[in-house]
Amino acid sequence: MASERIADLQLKIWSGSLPLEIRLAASDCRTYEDSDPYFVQYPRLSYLAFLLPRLHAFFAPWLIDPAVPSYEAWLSFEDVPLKWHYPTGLLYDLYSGAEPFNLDARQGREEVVLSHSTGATTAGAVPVPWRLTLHYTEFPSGQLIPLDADDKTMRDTFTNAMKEADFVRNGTARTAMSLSKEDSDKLWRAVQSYDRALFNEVNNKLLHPPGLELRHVPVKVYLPTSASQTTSETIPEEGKTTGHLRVVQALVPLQTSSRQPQTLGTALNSTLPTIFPSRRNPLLAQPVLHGAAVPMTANLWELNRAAAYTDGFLHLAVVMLG
Amino acid sequence: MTTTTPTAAIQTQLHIEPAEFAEGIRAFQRAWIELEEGGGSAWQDVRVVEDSYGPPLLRISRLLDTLPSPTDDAPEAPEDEDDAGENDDEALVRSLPPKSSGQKTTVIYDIVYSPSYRVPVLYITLSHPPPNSNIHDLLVPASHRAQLQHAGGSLGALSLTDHPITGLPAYFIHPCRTAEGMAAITKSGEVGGRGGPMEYLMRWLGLVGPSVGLSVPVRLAQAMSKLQL
Repeated sequence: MASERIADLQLKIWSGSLPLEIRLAASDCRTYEDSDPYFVQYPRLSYLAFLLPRLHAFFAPWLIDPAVPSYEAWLSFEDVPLKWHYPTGLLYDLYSGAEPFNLDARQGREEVVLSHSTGATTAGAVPVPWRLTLHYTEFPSGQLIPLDADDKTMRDTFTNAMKEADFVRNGTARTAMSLSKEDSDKLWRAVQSYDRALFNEVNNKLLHPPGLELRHVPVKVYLPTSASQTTSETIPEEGKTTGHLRVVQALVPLQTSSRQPQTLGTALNSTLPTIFPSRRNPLLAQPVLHGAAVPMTANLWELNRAAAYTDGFLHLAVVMLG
Repeated sequence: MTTTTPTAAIQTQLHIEPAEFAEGIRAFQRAWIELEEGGGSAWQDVRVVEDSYGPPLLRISRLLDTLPSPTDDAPEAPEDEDDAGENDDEALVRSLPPKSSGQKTTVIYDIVYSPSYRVPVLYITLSHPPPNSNIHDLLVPASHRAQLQHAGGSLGALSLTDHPITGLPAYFIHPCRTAEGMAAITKSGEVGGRGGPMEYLMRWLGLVGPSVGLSVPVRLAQAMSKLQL
C-alpha cells in the first residue's frame, strides 16, 4: 500500500472517537445519584487518565470531599476498574460489548474496514454513549496502578511500551532510547494533547532508524477469560474479579517461514492456533481493532503503520464468535 | 510458538530462547526438590508454573521474617538515567491487602519469559505487606544496600506494571537494560559462546537479584552445579 494511502488511513484512525457518558459514583456524591452526567466525544487512541482534571472540575460541586486530588480518582465500567495504560479504544473493544463493525469478507480491503471504525456505531445505528462511573474512594489497588500529579506513571508506562515496540521492530531499543530530550518531550506532549502532526514528527524517526532492518511487528492480543485457558488453576489470586483478560505476545516476523508477507491471519494462526485454526477465516473468534473486525488477509505491517496505537503496538481484542 | 530470524552468535549470550528458558527453570526446580526444599534457606518455595500461552514461569517465595529498619536515614542517591524507578517517597508498597497482626510478609518473585526482549524478566508481588512500607526497604534492608555493587547500577530500579500472566499490578525490573548487563558480565572465550540454560539463569539472577533481595541460597547453587547443566 502506498505511503499516502497509509497516511490517509492513519488520519482516519486518529479521527476515531467514542461518545462517553460519565457519572459520579453515588457513594462519592453529596446528592447521591443526582449529579449531572459528563458527556464527551473522546479519541480512541487517547488515554482516559488525561480526562481526570476536567472531570474533577465538572464534578467538584457534587463531591463529598472536593479536596481529593483529581489523580486519585478511578473509572469503572459495570464494576470493572479500567486500566489507565489501555487506550480508550482498546478498553471499549474489550469491555463495551458493542458489536464490532463487520466487513463483508469478499470486499477484503483494509481501507474500507478502517474507515468505518471512526465512530462507535454499527452501520446506520445511532451512537450509544459508553456509560462509565467515576469514583473518588475505595481505590482498587490490587487491580489498578495508581496515578500521580504530573502524569509521571502514565508517561513511564507509555515510554516503556514505546521502547518495547522499538525493540520488537528492530531487535534493539536504541533508537527509542537515543531520542533527544526535546523529541521525547515532544512525543509525550503529542500523546497528552492528541496532536497527530507533532506525534508523526517524532514517530517517523522511530519508524525509519538509519541502518536498522525491520524484523518483527509489534502486536499484543487480548483474550477474554472465556477464551483463555485461565491461569487461575495454576496461580491462585486474591481478589480476582470479572473482566480479567490475558494479554498474549509473541514475536511476529515481517514474513512467514515460507517467505510470504505476514498477514493478520498468519500471525494469529501461529500465535494462537487453537483460537485461530484458519489463516484466512475467523472460525471461532475475530480480531477487533478500533471497533472493526479486521480481515485476516490484511498485511500485518501495513496494518501496524496505519492503525497502531500511539505506543507503536497493534492492540487486538479477540471477540469469540457464536 | 515464535518463529524468529537466526541470531548472530554474540546475541546467544545475551538472550535465551523460550525452550531453553523452560529447560533452565525446570532444572532449577529439580535442584530445589533435591535439596529437600531449601534446608532452612530464606526461600520458602520454588515452583514452575505452567502457562497455556508461552513458556512456564518460575515462582520463588521468600518469607520476610524481619521488619526493615525505618527510613529516616538519607534518601537513596538519585538514579542517573531517565527511566529510573520511583522516588522513595512514592514507592510505597501497593499490593494485596495489608497484613493483620501476626502475619508474615511473603515476597513472590516471578521469573517470566519476555517474548519481545527474549530475556527473563522479574516481577515482584507481596502478600501481607506491612502498611506504608517502602518496597526497596522491604526487599533489601538499607543497611545492606550500600554493599551492593553490580553492573548497570540502575538495574534494581522498580516500576509498577501489569503482571503479564495475572494481569494484576506488580513491581518489575524493566528488561531493556538486561541484555547490556548480561553482555557486561559474560565471560569471553566461553566454549561455544555460552554455557547452558542453567548457567544463563544463574548469571541473570546474579545480575538482577541482589538489588531486590533475591539471592540464590548457597546450598541451592551447589546443588545446581552438581546437576551440571
